[in-house]
Amino acid sequence: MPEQQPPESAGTALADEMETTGLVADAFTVEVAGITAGVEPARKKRLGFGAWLAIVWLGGLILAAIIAPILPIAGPNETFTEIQRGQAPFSTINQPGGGTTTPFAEGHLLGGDRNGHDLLSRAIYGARNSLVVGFGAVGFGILLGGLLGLLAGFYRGKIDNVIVAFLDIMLAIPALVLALALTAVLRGRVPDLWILVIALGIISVPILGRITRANTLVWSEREFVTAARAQGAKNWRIMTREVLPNVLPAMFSIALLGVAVVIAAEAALRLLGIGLSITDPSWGGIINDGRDFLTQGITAHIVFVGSAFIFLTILSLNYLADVVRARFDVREAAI
Amino acid sequence: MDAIGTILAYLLMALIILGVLAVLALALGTRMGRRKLLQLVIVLLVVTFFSFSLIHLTPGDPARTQKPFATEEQLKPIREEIGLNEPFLVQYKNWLFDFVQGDFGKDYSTNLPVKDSISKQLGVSLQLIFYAQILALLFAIPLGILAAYKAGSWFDKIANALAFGAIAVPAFVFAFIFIFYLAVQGGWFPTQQYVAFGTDPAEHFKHMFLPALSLAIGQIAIYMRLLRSDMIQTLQEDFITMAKSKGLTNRRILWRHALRPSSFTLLTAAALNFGALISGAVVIEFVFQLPGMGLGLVTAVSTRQYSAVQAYVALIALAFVLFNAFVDGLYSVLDPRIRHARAATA
Amino acid sequence: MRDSYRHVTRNWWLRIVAVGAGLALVAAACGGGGGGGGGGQGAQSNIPKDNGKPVEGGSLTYGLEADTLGGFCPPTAQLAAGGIQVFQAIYDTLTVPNDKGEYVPYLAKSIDHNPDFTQWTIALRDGITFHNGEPFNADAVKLNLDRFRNGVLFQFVFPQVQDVSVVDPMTVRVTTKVPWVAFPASLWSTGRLGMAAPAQLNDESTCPRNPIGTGPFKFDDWVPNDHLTVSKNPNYWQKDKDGNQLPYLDRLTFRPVTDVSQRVNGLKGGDLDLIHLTDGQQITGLRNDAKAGTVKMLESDRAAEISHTMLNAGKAPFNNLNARLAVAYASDRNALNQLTNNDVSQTWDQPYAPQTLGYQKNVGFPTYDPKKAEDYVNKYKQETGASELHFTLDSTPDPTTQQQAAAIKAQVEKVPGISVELRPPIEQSQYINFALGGGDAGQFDAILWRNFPGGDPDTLYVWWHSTLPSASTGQQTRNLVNFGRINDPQIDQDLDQGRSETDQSKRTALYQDIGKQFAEKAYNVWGWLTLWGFAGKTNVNGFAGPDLPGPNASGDGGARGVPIASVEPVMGLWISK
Repeated sequence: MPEQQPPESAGTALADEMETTGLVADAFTVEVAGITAGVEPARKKRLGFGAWLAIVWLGGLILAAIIAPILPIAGPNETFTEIQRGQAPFSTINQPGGGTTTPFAEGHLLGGDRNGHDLLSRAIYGARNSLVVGFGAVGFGILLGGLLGLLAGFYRGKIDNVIVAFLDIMLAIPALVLALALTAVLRGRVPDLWILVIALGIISVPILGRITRANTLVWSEREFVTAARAQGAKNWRIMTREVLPNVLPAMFSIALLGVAVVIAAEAALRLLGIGLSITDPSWGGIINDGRDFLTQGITAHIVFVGSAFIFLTILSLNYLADVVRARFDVREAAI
Repeated sequence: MDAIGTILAYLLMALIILGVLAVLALALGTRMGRRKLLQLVIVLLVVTFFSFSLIHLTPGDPARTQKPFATEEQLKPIREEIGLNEPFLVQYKNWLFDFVQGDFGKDYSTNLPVKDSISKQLGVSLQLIFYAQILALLFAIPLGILAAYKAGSWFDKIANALAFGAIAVPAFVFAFIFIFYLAVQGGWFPTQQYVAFGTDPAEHFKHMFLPALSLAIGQIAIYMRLLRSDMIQTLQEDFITMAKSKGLTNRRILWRHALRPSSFTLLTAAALNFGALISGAVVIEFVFQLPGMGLGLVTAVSTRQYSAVQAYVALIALAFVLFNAFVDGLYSVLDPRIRHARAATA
Repeated sequence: MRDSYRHVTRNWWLRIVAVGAGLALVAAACGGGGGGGGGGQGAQSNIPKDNGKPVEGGSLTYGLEADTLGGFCPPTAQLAAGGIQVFQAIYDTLTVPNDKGEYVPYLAKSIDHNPDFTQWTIALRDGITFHNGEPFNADAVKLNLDRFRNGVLFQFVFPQVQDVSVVDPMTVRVTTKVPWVAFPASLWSTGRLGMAAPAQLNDESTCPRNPIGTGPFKFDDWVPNDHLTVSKNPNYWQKDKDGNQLPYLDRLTFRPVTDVSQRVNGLKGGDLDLIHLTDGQQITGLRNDAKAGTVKMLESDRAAEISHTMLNAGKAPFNNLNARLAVAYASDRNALNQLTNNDVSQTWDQPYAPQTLGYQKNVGFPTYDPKKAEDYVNKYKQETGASELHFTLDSTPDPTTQQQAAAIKAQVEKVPGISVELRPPIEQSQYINFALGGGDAGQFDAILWRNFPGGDPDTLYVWWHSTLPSASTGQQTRNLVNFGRINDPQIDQDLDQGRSETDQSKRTALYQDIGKQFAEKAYNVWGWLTLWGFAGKTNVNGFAGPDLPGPNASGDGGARGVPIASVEPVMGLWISK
């Protein structure tokens, strides 16, 4: 188990970050610092009410996304005339030629969007895409970034220098700019979902690489690692058996934040006309499709439904990341 | 570009040059510095190489995508201009030389040099980011101080919860809400477009306010929490207790004595964030139709102007890396903690 | 000369209705989406009321759906609706359609033809100068027409023009290779055939960025993707009916706002004075605002473009008639229209708008019938040995069009044996290039499309004829802009005969036959008539433009009527106090 670390302020955290990784820092570092700054250093080891809420929300969402086809909801691309015309009960708009259905209408709990889709269904099927992009991209980051970070932190020296430079290069292009550039290049040759996962995954690599490296640096100094070495354990074995388990909580807490960042980035890309097609709903897509209704002042619920799913999910992920950090005493300085 | 844009552009250039100088100065002195300089050069080379290769990763004939109606005869000069006939590495070298000299190629959709549009757009983007940063600090500093001072109170709790929530809302959602409620319904602000400072200062700020605010809100939350956390620690220090015992007013203690030692993290974060606000600016410029580099990049992507995409990506990455190098260099000169840490590891 | 002026208008064959499609090349590629159509028939009555008499002065900002990145050099410009609006400000055309759909002389004083319609004599109005002071004369017109003939786009429209010659300083003669009865329609070409100053045309490098016309406004400056400003041409050659100098406005600024909801926001928030749009949802919302009196809106689907799904007859599967018919019967076009346009547009069944010669009721296009669709799928499978009818569908990225594509997929896949692959959307700017590409066979199976603005059906020759004479050799070569790769001898023959036929009833019959061919052979699955909305603040007036210039160039040429398709005459706009 990790030993108790002296609590450090976020200030030294950032300074250490700059020190250990060199030239490039990014919004993500700042955001993480901002989020962690709210954590009280001594946290009880029991999960609080908020954490349970976050777990229930995320768990429920993931479950619903997985079993969406057998849930009693409409298909994501099924269209309802009563939604399109705003005819369902509880509708505030009922005008010739157009409208939509607001939440709590019979049969359409969250109302409908401008295309006559059921919003609950769009949101749940949207969770599939948003979460696949979020976890897919960060999963990619964990695998590649984790491996690089582990190697760099464990072997140090030249390997470290090369890997750190590599991670810096990957960070040098702002997330959205990289995604836009890759889209320009890959669109039409690779499925849109993959473009998103690749582009946003590339961004997660250095983030996870750095956290892994920084923590590996600390943990591979420990007595038990030295002891394992003395007993003649192979490097690979020490890395995977001794160091990695201790580094995982830090990776995990950053990965949760990473998923949150990626979900927001997907939504932004959708807005710019890049990303998934309309038949592949996502939360960003819901917001984008509903903008017109906000404009017309008819009903704002479409944008709010999409935003609420993004908001609650990111909030839960951020909160859980906090809890993980506090529970496992993740060394903040490493972030 | 108008006055403020020009000033900001020169400022950025000056900062970048300073950054490079700082790194150079370090490089002369220490092993660490030499390593960093080497790293910087490698990063720059790879990043520009990546930007350059974009055009070759694209499907189809790069010249034809730019001018689809043209005959093979008419495409020749374009091939020549882009330099597609040379070997790959020679192309890169030529492109890099042109790039460094400010020749970013041509946008074949408008038949204008890419440089012309970028030089107009740069100022707009810098203004947006700069204003967002100012707004963020303007709100975050008093809020952070108050939250720290009243740590544990209802105000603190609510402010913290709101901040935590604000981080979870993408900037463009704020943008939509502001546009609809403050601009369309309220009529207090314009919904879109850009007015240069030189044309009409009042209109300029009116047009920039909502975009800057949308971009700033998330940052306000982050900065506030950073400041609060450092401030709480500072307030426990002995010199604060001493100031209290001297009978200084709370306001004076907070602003004069506690703020400065607590703001290191905040300022570091703000500085590092400058470059990184670029991603946010892309979306905000798109939503508000501000003719900045972000909108330029989106347009270049959608019209498949690869020379322009190359230039945007390379320029943004370059500015980003160099700006961070500057911050890094500056802090290692200014902050003893980093110098000590460096001495220890080096 | 006055006689010949009347002669033209009186002539039956010029009672051709509405738009010369000219080269709708770019507008054509609007992917089909966002229709709407205020029950088209009564369109004339919806012109918003003006607030009193025109007032001079003031400036107006017009939000356009896109900028014209290629610039404004008439022979090379690729104009979508936004570009046409800019052209309306800067350039004038030789002819223009009036409210009855007749093509009347505009910059021309008169247009005459020889008995067999192979020679057209265009006499020009006197005393007109370009914005740079150059005189508008026969040399200038010849230069313009020659540039168009060799231009990258209009070479497809004018391949049968033999020669353009100067008769005297103010008269030009156009000789055609075949009798060409509807030639004046092509001289308008949906406002694209603007006459530019020789100085502009002669400098090819600055031509796109330095527009100089004879139009009501002079070009000031242009920042691509930001704004284009024009200011009043004080020496403009037209006056209104009351003898006031046109135009009324001092300054007109065009702003491209690609996002339709931001365009509407801009109007409501006060940043834009006038916008144009086709989005059915937004038009619905604006109709309510217009009723409430908070905006003014003019709707027009007169001689509108027809939104449709274009099938590629150049390769499998749609080189097979049964495959095309299967998809036509599998499409519930009414439901699709309702879904995409909220019931505000008219579902359509043929290539002509009602105001177009050749339009007929009950043309016999397949109506939704899944049973028949299944039969045709089976026939297709038997004939070709294919295991199913599979095709790709291409579209543009805007949400409305995406929705439309998704709905089509959902509809036709209900028929067993049909499967559709929605391909990643293609940006607007690449759409035409994509449809052009792939050589003889093309690279798409089905694509959402919008084209064929009404007017004389002769102007549609360029889209449907399988071959065109090559510009250099005169040899018949494959017609590149026949995007659907239609190779139908019957249609070719009808088009050729229709171009030269002088008997009205025969001519009508020829074009009606084309409509029938399209119904029987299902080259396109028709959608609906596109509706354009022009919405302005309540202080904006003059939506329909001043009356046309007659011999005296002062509103003595009869009414202009509602804007045709996407063309709003900006010269008559004015701001009330």
